[in-house]
Amino acid sequence: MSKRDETVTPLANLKPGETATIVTIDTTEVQSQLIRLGLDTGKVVRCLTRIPSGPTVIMSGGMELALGKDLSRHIMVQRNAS
Amino acid sequence: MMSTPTPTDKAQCISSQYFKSGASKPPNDISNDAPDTGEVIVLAGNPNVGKSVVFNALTGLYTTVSNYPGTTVDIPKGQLPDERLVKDTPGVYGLSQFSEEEQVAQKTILEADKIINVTSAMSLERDLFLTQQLIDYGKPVVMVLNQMDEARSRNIGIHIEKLSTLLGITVIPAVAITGEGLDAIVPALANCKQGNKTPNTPDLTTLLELENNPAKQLLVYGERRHHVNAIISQVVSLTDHQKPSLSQHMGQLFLNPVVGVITAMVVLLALYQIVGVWVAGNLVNLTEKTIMLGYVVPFIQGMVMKVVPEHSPLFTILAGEFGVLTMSIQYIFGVLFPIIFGFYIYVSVLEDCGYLPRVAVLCDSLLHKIGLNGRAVIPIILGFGCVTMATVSTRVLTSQRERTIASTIIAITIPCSAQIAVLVGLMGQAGGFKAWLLFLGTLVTTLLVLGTILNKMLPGKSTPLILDLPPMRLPTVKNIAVKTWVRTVVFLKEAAPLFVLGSLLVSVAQVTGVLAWIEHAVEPITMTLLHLPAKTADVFVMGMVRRDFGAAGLYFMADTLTSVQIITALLTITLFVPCIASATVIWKERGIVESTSVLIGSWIIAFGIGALACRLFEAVPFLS
Repeated sequence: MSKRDETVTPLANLKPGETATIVTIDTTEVQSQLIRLGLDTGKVVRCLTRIPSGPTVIMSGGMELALGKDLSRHIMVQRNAS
Repeated sequence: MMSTPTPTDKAQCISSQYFKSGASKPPNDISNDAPDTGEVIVLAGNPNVGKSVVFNALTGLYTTVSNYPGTTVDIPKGQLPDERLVKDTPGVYGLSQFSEEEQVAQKTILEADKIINVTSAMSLERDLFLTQQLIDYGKPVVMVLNQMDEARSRNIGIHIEKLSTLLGITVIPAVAITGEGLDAIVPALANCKQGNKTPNTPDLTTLLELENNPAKQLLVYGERRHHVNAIISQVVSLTDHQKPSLSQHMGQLFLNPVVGVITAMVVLLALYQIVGVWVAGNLVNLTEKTIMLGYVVPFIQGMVMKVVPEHSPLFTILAGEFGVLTMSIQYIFGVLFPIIFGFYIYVSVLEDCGYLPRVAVLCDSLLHKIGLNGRAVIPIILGFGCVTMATVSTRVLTSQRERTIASTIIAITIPCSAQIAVLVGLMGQAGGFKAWLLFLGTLVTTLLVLGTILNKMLPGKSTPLILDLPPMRLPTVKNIAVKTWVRTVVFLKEAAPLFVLGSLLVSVAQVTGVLAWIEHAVEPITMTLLHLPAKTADVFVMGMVRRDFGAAGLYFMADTLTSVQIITALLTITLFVPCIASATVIWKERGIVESTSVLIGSWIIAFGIGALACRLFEAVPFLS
C-alpha cells in the first residue's frame, strides 16, 4: 500500500499526473452512470488534464473519461503518494 | 478573402441522418423490415468497440434500417448467410433508461433469442458491466473480444479461457478491422449459453422494475460492478497505463486549450474550403449547371412536353422552375448528393480519429452557459453542413431539454453550408473583413442570448458531462468509405420524398398565384422594418423554398444595395426559418408544438435582429 495524503479533496483539484482514490461521490444524480463506467468508491484514477474552468479528464480502467466541472467537484478523492 | 463562387452555385441541404461521435452507425431509413421470423440475434456493446464492423462482417452491406416503433432511434437489420435475422443496437454502457437509445437497446435485447456482445480488450473493465447485465437478464450470450491487437501492443494480457469460465459464456478474441476471429462467431452461436449471473441478482422482472427506482438501481449496479471488478482482477494481467502511448499524447495535445482553439480554426477553415468552396462551389457547379441543367432537366422537360402541353399549369407543376420532376431531381442529385457526400467524408474522418469528443470537452463550460453540455458540439458542427442532419443528431443528447435548446439554436443561428457559400459570395461586396465582423458578431451574440433565454425559461438544468474519450486513431479508408456511402444513400432515401413534397407545394403556390401574393404581402416588412428595397421580399420568400434561390436574387441586386443593406439582408436570411425540408424534419423530430414555436420564433428573431442591426449600423458611422 502506498502512503496517502490525509486530506480529502475534490477530483477537480487534482493536478495532471496525480493519482488518487475515490472516497465519496456526493451526487446521486449520475451515480449509477458512473458505476457503469467503473467509477465507484475505492477506484484509483489518474488525472490527465484539467481544462481551465472546465471538465477534468481522468484515466480510469484504461479509458480516458471527461467529467464536467460541477461533477468533478462532487467526487471526493484522496491523493495517493506517488 | 478566398475565392468567391457565385451564389447560384450554392446549395441548401437537407439530411436526416443518425450521427454519433466515434461510433460507426448505419443510419436511419424508411425501407421495409427484414422478415421477422425465426431466431433473432442481436448485437450489443459499448460505444467505440467496433460493433458496426462486426455487424457489417456478419451481414454484408445489404442491411436495412428501421426505427424502433414509437421512437426515432435506428435499428439496423441484416441476415446471416443462413438467413437468420441479425439486429444491431445503439452503443450503450448499460441497459438503463438514461437516454432514448438505451431504452431502445434494452427493448431490442429483451426481444432477442441470442446476443452477440462485442467488447474491447482495451476497455474490458468498462465493457464487462454490460456483458454481466446481459447475463443477469438471463439472455444466452456469445462475447466477441475485439481490438486484441491494440491490447497486445499495449501489453495488456487477458486470460481468455478464465474469462470464459468465470462468465460462463464463449469468448472469441478478435481483431474486427482485419477480420481476425470473426469466422468463429456464427459457429459459436450454436453453443450460445446463459452465463453465470451476479450472485444474489434479482429476477428479470425485478431488474427491469428497479431501473425506475434510483436507490435500488444503485444497489444492484454496485453489486454488479463489484462482481465485474473481481472478474477483471483475475483475468487481466499487467496493464501499463502509466506509460502513455503516442495516441494518448495526441489526445492530450488536442485537449490543450491553445492547441484546441488553433486546431478548431484549422478544422473549420478546412471544412469551409473543402465543403463550402470546392464541393458546394466548384463541384456542384459541374453537377448542377453542366449536367443537370444542361442535359437532364431539358430531357425531362422534353419527355413531359410529349404528354402535357407546355405553359399549362400541370406542366409547371411537373416540370417547371420548381417542378416535381425537374427541381427535385436537379436538386437531389445535382446539389445535395455531392454536398452531403463531401460533408459526411469530412465528419466521418473527424469522428473516426477521435477528434470530435475532445472538442466537446473543450467547449463544455461554454455550452453549460446555454443549458447544454459538451456533447452538443457534435450536432452544432453538423449544423454548419445541414440543419436537418444536425436536428436528427441531437438524439445523442441525454435530455429532452437539451434537445430542445440545441435544435432551436441550430435551426435559427447556425448558417448551413448553402448559406455559408452565399455569404462568401456577398461579403466581399459588403466590405470584406468589417462586414464579416459585424455579421459574425451579431450572429454569435444572438446565439448566446437565445441560448441563455432558453436556459432560463425551460424547467430543469443542464446535465453534467460524462464523456468517454476514444483513443486517437488513424481512420481507415475502408471504414470512412463504407460509413460515408451508407449514410449518403440512406440520407437520400429519406430526403427525396421531402423534396418532392416541397417542390409540389411551391409549384402549386406558383400556379395558383399564392407565391406572388405572399411576396407582395412581405414587401412592407422589408421596406419599413429592414430599410431594404421592396424587391428583396422575393429573396425572403424564395429563401424558404431554397435559400440559395433567394440569395441568388440578392446577389444580382447587390450593386444597388449599400453594405448595411447587404449585411442586414444576409443576417435576416441566416436567422430566418430553415428551408421547407429542414422545417419538416424539425417537425418530425421535435413535434408540432416545438417546431411551430421555432418557426414563429425564427421569424420574430430574424426580422427583429435585422431591424435592430440596420438601425444600429446606420446610426454609428464607424459601423456603416
